[in-house]
Amino acid sequence: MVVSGEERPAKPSRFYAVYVTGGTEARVALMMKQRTEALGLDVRSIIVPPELRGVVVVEVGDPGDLYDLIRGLRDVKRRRPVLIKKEEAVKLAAPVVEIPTVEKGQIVEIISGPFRGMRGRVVEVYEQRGEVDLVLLESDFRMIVTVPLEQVRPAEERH
Amino acid sequence: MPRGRQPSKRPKLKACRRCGALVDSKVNVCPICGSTEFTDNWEGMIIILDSSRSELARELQIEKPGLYAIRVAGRVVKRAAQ
Repeated sequence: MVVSGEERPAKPSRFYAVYVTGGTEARVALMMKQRTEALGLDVRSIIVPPELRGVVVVEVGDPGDLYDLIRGLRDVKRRRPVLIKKEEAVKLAAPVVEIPTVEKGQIVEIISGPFRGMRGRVVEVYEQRGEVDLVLLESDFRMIVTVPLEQVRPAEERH
Repeated sequence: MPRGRQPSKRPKLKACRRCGALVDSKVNVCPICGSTEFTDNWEGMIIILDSSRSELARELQIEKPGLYAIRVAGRVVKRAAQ
């Protein structure tokens, strides 16, 4: 009996670490996506971990499809993929919580953008927008600027 | 080898601040959550191809297939590492 790809019973996922040339992880992952869609492979997700250089983690239902996925793919190393635990894969893919570390009244330094190098006191934090309102300390008059959170870092107050 | 043939190593994508979805730099509205706030400051990538059968998607509570950043600068995320 022929079972189409859609009707195949769902096999449990397996996670494999595939070794690739360092620096090409994202590009290889996108090529894997294209190949999966073109060949109809049972590849369920692909992870490019920010901490691991030269590794792409692939979640597959059928391990045989992994071979079809990486065969002849540019920048994939010949080293045999390694089976890893689901918990390890999830840990690699789980985002680190980046809660803004600044709060109202805090003195911060602007590290990039047009106000780079200036310091300011935080008057409002917009967590959803990822921005803060600052009163610039170096200004002769009360000047409030809105800057992205990623452009500021806490600074020690000068006495 | 001809010059200028080497493709860019990191794709030109930007991340949605709200849901972390990665989209082309020309896109103005996030196709996943509808947000219009994006950042170029992101790291790591998750590609969900089959959200119904992916155990990773289930663990991270990702419902729609697509590209997602693992870390997005300044974003308060709901799905945290256990």
